[in-house]
Amino acid sequence: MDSDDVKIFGFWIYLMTDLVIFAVLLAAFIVLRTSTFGGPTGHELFRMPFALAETLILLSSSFTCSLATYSVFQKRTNLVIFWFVVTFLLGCAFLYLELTEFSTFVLRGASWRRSGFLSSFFALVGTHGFHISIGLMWMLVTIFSLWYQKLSEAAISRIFRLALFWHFLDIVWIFIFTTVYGMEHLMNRFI
Amino acid sequence: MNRDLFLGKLTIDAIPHHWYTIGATVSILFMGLIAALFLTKTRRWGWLWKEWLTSTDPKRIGTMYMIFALLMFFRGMIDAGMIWLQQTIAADSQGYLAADHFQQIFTSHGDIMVFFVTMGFFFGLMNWIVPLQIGARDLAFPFLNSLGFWLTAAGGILINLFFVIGGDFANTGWLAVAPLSELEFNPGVGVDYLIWSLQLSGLGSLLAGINFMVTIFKKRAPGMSLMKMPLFVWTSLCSTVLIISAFPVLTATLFLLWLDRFLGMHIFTVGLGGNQMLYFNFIWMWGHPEVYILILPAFGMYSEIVATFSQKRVFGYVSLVCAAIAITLLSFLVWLHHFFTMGAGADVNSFFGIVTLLIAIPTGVQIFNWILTMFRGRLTFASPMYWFMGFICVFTLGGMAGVLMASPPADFQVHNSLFLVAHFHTTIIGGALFGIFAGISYWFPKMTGFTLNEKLGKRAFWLWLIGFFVSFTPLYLLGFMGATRRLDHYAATTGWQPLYITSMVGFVIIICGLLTQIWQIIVSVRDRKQNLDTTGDPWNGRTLEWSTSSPPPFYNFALIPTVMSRDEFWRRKKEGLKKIKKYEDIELPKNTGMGIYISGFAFFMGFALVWQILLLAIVGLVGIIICLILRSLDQEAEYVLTAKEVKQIETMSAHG
Amino acid sequence: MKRSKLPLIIILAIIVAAVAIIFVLKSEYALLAHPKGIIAKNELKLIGTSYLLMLIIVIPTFIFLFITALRFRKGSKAKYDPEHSHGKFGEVILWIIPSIIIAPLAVITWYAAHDLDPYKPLTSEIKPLTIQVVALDWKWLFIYPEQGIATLNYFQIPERTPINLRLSADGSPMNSFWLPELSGQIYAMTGMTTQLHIMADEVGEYTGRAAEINGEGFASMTFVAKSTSESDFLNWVSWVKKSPLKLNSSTYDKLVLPSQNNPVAYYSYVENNLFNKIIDKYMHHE
Repeated sequence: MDSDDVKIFGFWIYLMTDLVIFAVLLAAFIVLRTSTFGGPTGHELFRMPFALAETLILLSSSFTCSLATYSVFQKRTNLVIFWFVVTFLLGCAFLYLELTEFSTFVLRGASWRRSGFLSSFFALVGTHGFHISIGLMWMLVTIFSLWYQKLSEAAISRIFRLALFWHFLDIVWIFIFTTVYGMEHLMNRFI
Repeated sequence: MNRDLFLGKLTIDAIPHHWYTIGATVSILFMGLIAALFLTKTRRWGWLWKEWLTSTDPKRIGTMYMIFALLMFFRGMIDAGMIWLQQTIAADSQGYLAADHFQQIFTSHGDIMVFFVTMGFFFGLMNWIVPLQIGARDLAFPFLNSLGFWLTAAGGILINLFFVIGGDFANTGWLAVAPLSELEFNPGVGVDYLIWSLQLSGLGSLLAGINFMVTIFKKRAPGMSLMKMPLFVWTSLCSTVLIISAFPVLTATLFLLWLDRFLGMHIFTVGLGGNQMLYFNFIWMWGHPEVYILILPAFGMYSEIVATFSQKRVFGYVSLVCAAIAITLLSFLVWLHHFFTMGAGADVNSFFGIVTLLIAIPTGVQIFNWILTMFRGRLTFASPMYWFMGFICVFTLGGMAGVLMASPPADFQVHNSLFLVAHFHTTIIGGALFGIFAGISYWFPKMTGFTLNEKLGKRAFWLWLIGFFVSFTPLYLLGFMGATRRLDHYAATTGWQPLYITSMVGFVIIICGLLTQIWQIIVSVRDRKQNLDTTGDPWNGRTLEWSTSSPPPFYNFALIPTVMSRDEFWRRKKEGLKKIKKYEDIELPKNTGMGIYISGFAFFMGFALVWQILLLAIVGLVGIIICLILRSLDQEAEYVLTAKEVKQIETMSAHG
Repeated sequence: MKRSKLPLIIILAIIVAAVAIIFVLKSEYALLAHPKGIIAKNELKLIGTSYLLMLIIVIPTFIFLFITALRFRKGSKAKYDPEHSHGKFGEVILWIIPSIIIAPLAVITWYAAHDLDPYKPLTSEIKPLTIQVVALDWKWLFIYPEQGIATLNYFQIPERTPINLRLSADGSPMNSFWLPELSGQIYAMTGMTTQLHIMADEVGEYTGRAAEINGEGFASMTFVAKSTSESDFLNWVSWVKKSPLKLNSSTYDKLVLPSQNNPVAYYSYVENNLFNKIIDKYMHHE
């Protein structure tokens, strides 16, 4: 089956559909960002340093993921494993920060039940976090399969798709960061 | 806490105890029992598993889609009959159905007909015909094809499961609009059944859409440029563009609604910052492209049928392609016309109204092109052409009603009335359903190897056509009489009842048409030996599917054809068909049960989420993930059919 | 044999259908065809114009279809041209023909949508009457803020007077207020206001109903609107002011609870600013 080129094309199309899902969640957030119903606003809740840290971690993980892909082209399996482990750890750090943020909000009474604004925030960022988790699981499976099997054509194609997925999630995060945290910060400065 | 983990919201009440839930449960069990007995007696369980259920052959999957769609069609028609009966007798009385039950019936009627019947039939026909028409052996992703079908089937089982467990379906209308579908107004599990059955089948449709898009872009036979593709492939491609853009919106919206209900969020609720209008916007951003997803493949089928039965090239191929693309693009820009009455203001309303009007232009162009194809052709009126003629008559009337409603002030009067109901049934039945009937009667010989009884086919057509007009013309009029849709009873002083009765008579005629079609299939199967299609080309066709035997071998083509023009098969016939000299090895995908296993886990997860049974939901999710991992590690998903074996099969079928 | 009779049967069927349709539309039951208010009348004109414009194309198309179908049957002596499949000139014309009808329709749509915008007040020398409409599960509350009265499932207006409706809902999901003889519908949503401006051109009694499904009592949610002469209206208001029923917060809170088939009720007193209070419930205040 001629398929690696076909599989990558198909995967791109799947990524576009995932993008539409995020677009809907983002649109919901934009519509509901002022629907705080007297509850906490983004201005009160979001901490820029925190969000910035999450962003830098994710960007770095995207970079290390590229290094892993580069190592694939060089056929250096050990290096591939190494960079994927680093990416995995960075991804876990991102998730840890995100879950910390969520639990802080919930403990302050700013849970997803409080207002439309908070609901849309948790739905958007939570869905992104869920995708990150799937990506991390995929990375684990890849790491283990690389450890026990050699780098076949099919494996290379799969790694390439994983990298696409991971970069995609990074790009989505840029949008989320800008719209959710960035704009809140900017709007605050002008008030 | 313990109870939640294992049983969720399930209580003893979930056991069927209404007349209709008991009745449905008994029928389902009875049908299942008959099927199981038959399979056991004829020792065909293994055959069923190996030849059909685990198959990755798009022809097999296509047939399964169509059988599934047919079963759901019966369910949807029973719903329709119950609706009609209620409205016929409910003048100054509550009829025989309580209001809530009646509302559940039309909700499930709509969801079943849109998600499972029309999409099921279209995916079935596309699976069969698209690979054959582009000179391919299979879709781009055979495993995904199987998975997509089984997810749709899982959704179909889930949407019927409420009869057996729970007793209530959603009563909100087919789109489960918020805030009616929120916990405040609908605390039961009915809406959740709707959400999860639609999520499963929506995911199946999305996967199928991706699959067909990649197939059409990447798997065409050498020489077949985009502008040489048959029009059915073109419109299927446009349909996939709509599927991959719109279905994620449905997934996200239903997901948000579910979050509102499951986690107590406030995206679409009344109060606490929820926005009801947001649901309408999102759901129709999916909903409008959806109806074009349903109609575009039919347009393509009609193009093929008219060309074949006029023995002539289709007129204006380029125009038809442009029209399909125009319709695809415009369909993204009109969603607000579904809620002009929400008060968006004249500027916004006019914009969407005018863009809606624009869609009439490419649609009209298509109709002119079809008529011009017939012009100076040599017409034979076999039953596919009957369905085409019926389509033009019926669909045009529905389209006129649509153009009328594109003007906001006109819509203010007829929105949510039976005029609206008549409009969309006219376009869906006249366009999509007649298209399905046309396509099935056209390609039936190819799929089965024998022809359908023409006489019964034509009789069925007339019954459907007459029945359609008798049942839906009164609905247009009822709209003008101030009759709102979805009413479970009304005052006799409205004067509506005679029209409802007329409409019911039409329904009975339609049922006669449906019964005639079933009889037609039975008779055709019975008489199949006398009506074998030995040439593979019973209609003197123009496109590549007719170059194969009827039915085609499981690998479609012994040698992938090299295409030199549009209507490639017609050209080959005119210039003389060449004999194959040298056979080649063929690589084919193996059967796999993974599609079933993943869909099974997905089904249990969906069911668990409906009833909030946490443990089962986690088991379902973990099961899906493990299956996906196992599948991805599977290195031997294909096998090779040697050239020698191919030659054997080919010579056997030529002599057999 | 059957083929030669078919066109005749079809023409006959069309005639029968047309007669039946005209018969139904002429009857008084066809509310949309017998508008009693200026808005509904203009909306009907728009419907008629749209249909006429469309028929200009549709009828010739059908004629062309049937003539073609009859003339080019296999075995007839008509010319057979299997390669006749395009013509630059012909294809462009095909796009122009529907555009010729859609273009004027688009222009008409723009002007009609602005002219018949439910938010647009009616021009008249007569002072408008404001009525606040609240959709409840499953009944309609009408508040007359200037007169200080309210009614349930019924309201009365003076003829040829512009009526400014302000609509909302309470405890009820999406609703739609439809009084077809006077105008098209408008949604009424909890926590929000919408507007509709109507006028009755003559004296009469009209039925309205809820047009968006909102639960079990949806089909029972009808109301009656009556337009009378100015003096009859004023007498009616004085009569309502003698009603023993009063709409204060506790009566209102009971009214919001779901109920069906509520009988018509008249309230001689309405709590001050009740309508705004109802909407405010869904706005958070610090």
